[in-house]
Amino acid sequence: MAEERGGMAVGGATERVQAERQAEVQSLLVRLRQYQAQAEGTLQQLNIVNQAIEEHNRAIETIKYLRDLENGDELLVPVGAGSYIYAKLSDISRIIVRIGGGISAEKDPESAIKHLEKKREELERSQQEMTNILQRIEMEAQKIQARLQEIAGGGAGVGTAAEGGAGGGAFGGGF
Amino acid sequence: MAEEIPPQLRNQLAQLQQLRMQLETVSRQKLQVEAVLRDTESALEELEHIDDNAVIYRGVGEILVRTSRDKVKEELKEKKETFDLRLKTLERQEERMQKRFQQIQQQIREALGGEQVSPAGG
Repeated sequence: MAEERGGMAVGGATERVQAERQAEVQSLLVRLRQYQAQAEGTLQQLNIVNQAIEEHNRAIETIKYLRDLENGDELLVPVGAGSYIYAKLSDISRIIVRIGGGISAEKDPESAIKHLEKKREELERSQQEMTNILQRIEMEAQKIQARLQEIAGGGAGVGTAAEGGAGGGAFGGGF
Repeated sequence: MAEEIPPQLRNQLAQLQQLRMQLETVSRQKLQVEAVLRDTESALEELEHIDDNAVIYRGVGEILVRTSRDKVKEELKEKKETFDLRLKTLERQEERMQKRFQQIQQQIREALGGEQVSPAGG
């Protein structure tokens, strides 16, 4: 009788431990999915920032090259699909630069370059911040994945871990 | 087997989930408004350093239309005021939702007897 009671008590304790582990796994999976969504959003923003930096680089290089030309020099202007039309440079001393809020202002080539370089620096700062955020998210996600594996190693109640995609692929090589 | 979740608790969990989604939407809107504000402020600051008779253009669709510095400054100031107000409204909305979120989270925690609430993330 005493053995039976002891067995039941052990069984109850095991069930409780399993239920606790199951709850922890569910909670970890939810956090992992949240980190994943956050990482995807940040990555999208980072791509936009990278493209903007590239665009600024192109504009700066183009202005730097064109300022050495003379008025009246011939240019080929792209019209899309790899096609060009002939045009003549009418005034290289004035550049129109977007200054924000849908407004553009006329500047001389030097000021235009300076303005674009300043904007590029701001973009590079954002790029760095986003990269740091992604690294932090990745570290947190790795900690969760390690804990999930630890629980799975314990062998109790982690059936949903694999279903939730926590097997290690969620963040691997994502960024 | 999982135990049946009481209807009240299920309802609170659904509310929590809904609030979380609403909070994400408000947060996205806030980011968009903040971006517009930064852009507008940067244009205003730039205009401060430009000559009175500088050549200024306003973008209309794909084309640029010439305009004056003073007119643009007025327009940008109005735009900034509008978006400042929108940002404040969103911040208040977010604050209210956060409070409600924590309230429901606490109620669920109490119902579960102090256990952790998983769908939060707040």
